[in-house]
Amino acid sequence: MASLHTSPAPGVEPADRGSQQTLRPPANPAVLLLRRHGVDSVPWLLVIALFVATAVSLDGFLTRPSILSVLVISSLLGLACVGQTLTVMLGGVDLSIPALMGMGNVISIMLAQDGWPFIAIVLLVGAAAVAIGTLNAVLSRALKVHPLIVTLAIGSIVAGVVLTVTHGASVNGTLPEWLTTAVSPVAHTWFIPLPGVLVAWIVIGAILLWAQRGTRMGRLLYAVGSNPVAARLSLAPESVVWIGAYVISALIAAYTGMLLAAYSGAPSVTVADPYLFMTIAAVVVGGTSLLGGSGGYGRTILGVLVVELLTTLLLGLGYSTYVQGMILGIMIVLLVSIYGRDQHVSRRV
Amino acid sequence: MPVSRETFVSADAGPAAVGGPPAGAAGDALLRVESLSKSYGETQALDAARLEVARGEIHALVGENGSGKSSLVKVLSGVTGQDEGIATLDGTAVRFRSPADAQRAGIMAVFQETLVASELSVLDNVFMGQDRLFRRGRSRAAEAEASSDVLSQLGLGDVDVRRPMWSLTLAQQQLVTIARALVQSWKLLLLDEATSALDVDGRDRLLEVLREAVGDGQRSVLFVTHRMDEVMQSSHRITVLRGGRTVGVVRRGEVALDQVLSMMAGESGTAAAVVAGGASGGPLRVARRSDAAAVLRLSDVVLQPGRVPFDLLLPEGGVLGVAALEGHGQVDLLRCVAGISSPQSGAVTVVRDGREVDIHHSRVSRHNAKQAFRNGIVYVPSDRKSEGIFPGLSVLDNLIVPSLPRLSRAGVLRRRKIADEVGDAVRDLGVKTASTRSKIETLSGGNQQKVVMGRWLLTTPRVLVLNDPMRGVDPGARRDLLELLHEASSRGMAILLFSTELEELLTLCPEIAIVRDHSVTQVLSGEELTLDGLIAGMFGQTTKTEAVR
Repeated sequence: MASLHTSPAPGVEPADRGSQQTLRPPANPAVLLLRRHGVDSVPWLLVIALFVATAVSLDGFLTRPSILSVLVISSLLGLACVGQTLTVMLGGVDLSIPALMGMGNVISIMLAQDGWPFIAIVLLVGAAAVAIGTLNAVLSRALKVHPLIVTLAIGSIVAGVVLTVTHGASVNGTLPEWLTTAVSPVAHTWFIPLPGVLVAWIVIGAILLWAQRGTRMGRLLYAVGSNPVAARLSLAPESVVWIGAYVISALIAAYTGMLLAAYSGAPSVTVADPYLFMTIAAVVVGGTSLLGGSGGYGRTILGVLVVELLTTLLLGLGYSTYVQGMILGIMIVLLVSIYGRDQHVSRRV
Repeated sequence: MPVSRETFVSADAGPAAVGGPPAGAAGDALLRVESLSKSYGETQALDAARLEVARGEIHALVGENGSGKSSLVKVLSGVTGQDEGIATLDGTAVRFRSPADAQRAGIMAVFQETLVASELSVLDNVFMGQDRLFRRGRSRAAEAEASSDVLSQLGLGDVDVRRPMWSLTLAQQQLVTIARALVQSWKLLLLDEATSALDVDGRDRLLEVLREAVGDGQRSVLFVTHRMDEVMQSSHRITVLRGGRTVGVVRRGEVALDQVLSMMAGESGTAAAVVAGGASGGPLRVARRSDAAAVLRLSDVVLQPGRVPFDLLLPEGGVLGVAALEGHGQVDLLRCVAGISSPQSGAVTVVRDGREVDIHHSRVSRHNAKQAFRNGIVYVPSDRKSEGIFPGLSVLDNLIVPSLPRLSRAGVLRRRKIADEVGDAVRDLGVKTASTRSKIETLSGGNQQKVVMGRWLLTTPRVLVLNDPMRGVDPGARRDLLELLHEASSRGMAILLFSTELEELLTLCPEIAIVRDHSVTQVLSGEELTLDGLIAGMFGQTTKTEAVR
């Protein structure tokens, strides 16, 4: 700090804090951003800082294929986070997302092996996802049990059923070629020079960003998450909002699982297990409160980029997955303490 | 008429003017606070505030929302520290690091939020914090004995102390938190809006207990409240805060209520014309509409099994007050009218286009609430924090939730229409907010309540059912709310208003129904509308007027 005001103007008392402040050179843009937007700017700064750090540390990161490959894994996580964001905004959580992704993954490959037409597979997986999502919401509401428990149990049931159906054996099958190219960083989607999964993320993300502000359902999502009692007294259709959020969550998770099948190539129910921690991490890092009623998908997009950039950086520097997990954990604790603190002060004033 | 600043200072108590209570030792201060300052970020909550509480005194601390009352109490009770300034207790300078610190020094604080462990018993709640980690401070029997006097004085004598806390009413829970402070040894008791859930009976009992406690001429009580009648009745002296500064210290009886109110309001003087003397029927009294068509009719309604059935009638544009002691079923009545809960028997009907529509047509209460809403009946809940506002959301979002179907097309919000309506509403309601995008919790309590009320006015209701809307609202905003209701009724809206603030009921309502034992026992109007008449009715005494009938 001393270097910031080495030469005080003559006649200024060093003890006079007010004048010292005026002597400070203009703050850097990050500090200005922090001052104006408070903790809301933290995820932005993290994305920028991690991008710069990765570009500096890893040779060849600033090339089209490697940036696109980060964006492809970000798209998969980002899509998996859609449901996590919506349910967390409601004050819930969806721990069945990895199981749904595993289901989409295994079922699609298994049925493709059996020669099912692809459209039929999409419809079947979709129908199963809608049913499971509805079950998550209805059970949580009817039993008045926190979705934490309900979705954990439902996820376990789904994974068990899928394993039983497939007899635990690994299945091999070929997915349609366009699905495999959708997750290839160098692929095109129609005339767009981007892979299909990224295009899907951009489209779905844009729809969500608009819907959470501009539609009735979006506003109800915030209201029910913020204060369920007040929402009930305001005649908000609570159950519709809950079922909607969990159905969207399950549906997108299952289809993301199909994309993951194309990405990983090795079908397995447990292929998506890391997504349990990663989806919650991305939502929390973005700054959506687990208490509900705040945040939104825009924040989650930033959280996803932070998580995937950090993973890429650590992987590139040669750290093991254990170290990656540890550092991600440290970051979450730090961020949560910053976010929580801000809320606390604003409530006091 | 606003009083000039000089007037307060001269009315202020210099050392010579500090009288103790009438009976107490004069000039002997238990607590003295000098130039206390506290800021939260850029907000200066306390700006060199002063306070002096004499021994054996009941001292009231008043001020509008944001005047620094709560901050002062928080500093004195050790919840937060001060930036500058000195507090002296019993002649020694004190600076508390924690509430436990303050309690060891003899300052007990009770807050508005009923801070209880709802699964524990009443007794455990009374003695909370006095146990060791693995061992009780004293035996259950000793605890029961030590607390029985205090509990029965507070009117909790009939409550089994082994009952779990959640089975008590909100008012009873609040009394338990007060008992928790009283059973300990204390020099100064701080009551921060701790009477807000109590009815007339509970408050009277509490004041009696407090008077007795300070009767020894050693202990003192400092209480913060928005209820000016309490202040004028029970305090020996009153300290008025405004904008974090002490703007006056007055003795009860030396100044009139409206002078205190104008001190609180300052230059603006908006609160000066407030509610004072409402019993005589202020200009806000709505005319009785005996000739208007009925909009709401309750016939043979039984709220609980075995209670007396009753009828009620609410005409178009009429205002019907509801007065009751806590726990006499008044909230059940309001919720039945709004379709949120159902009566045991009887019918609640709303008249629409000349047809009577039964609100309780379904067994599913959710459907009944919808039915009530569709027919223009809306319910404004009492507990702003837990049932009213959507914290974290903007003023705009807080206003539009029940109107969303009307304000959207195929699920997409009609932004221009919303901006227009919300802008109009904020202006008409007089909500003081930087912008409609500001978060609701940045507003003062009174303005939050205006937003909650505005949420329902936006649905253009025909019947407005209000559950104690003035709770925790400062006097200036109360006047605004009363004016809002007055205006709504002049536009033909019918209003059913329950309030624990009897003065305000008398100010507004041409008719007041007394609810007692889960039934309407009387409907007072005209000459019968006096404070004494209301209180007599609430306590179940026969009034003269009834004998005449």
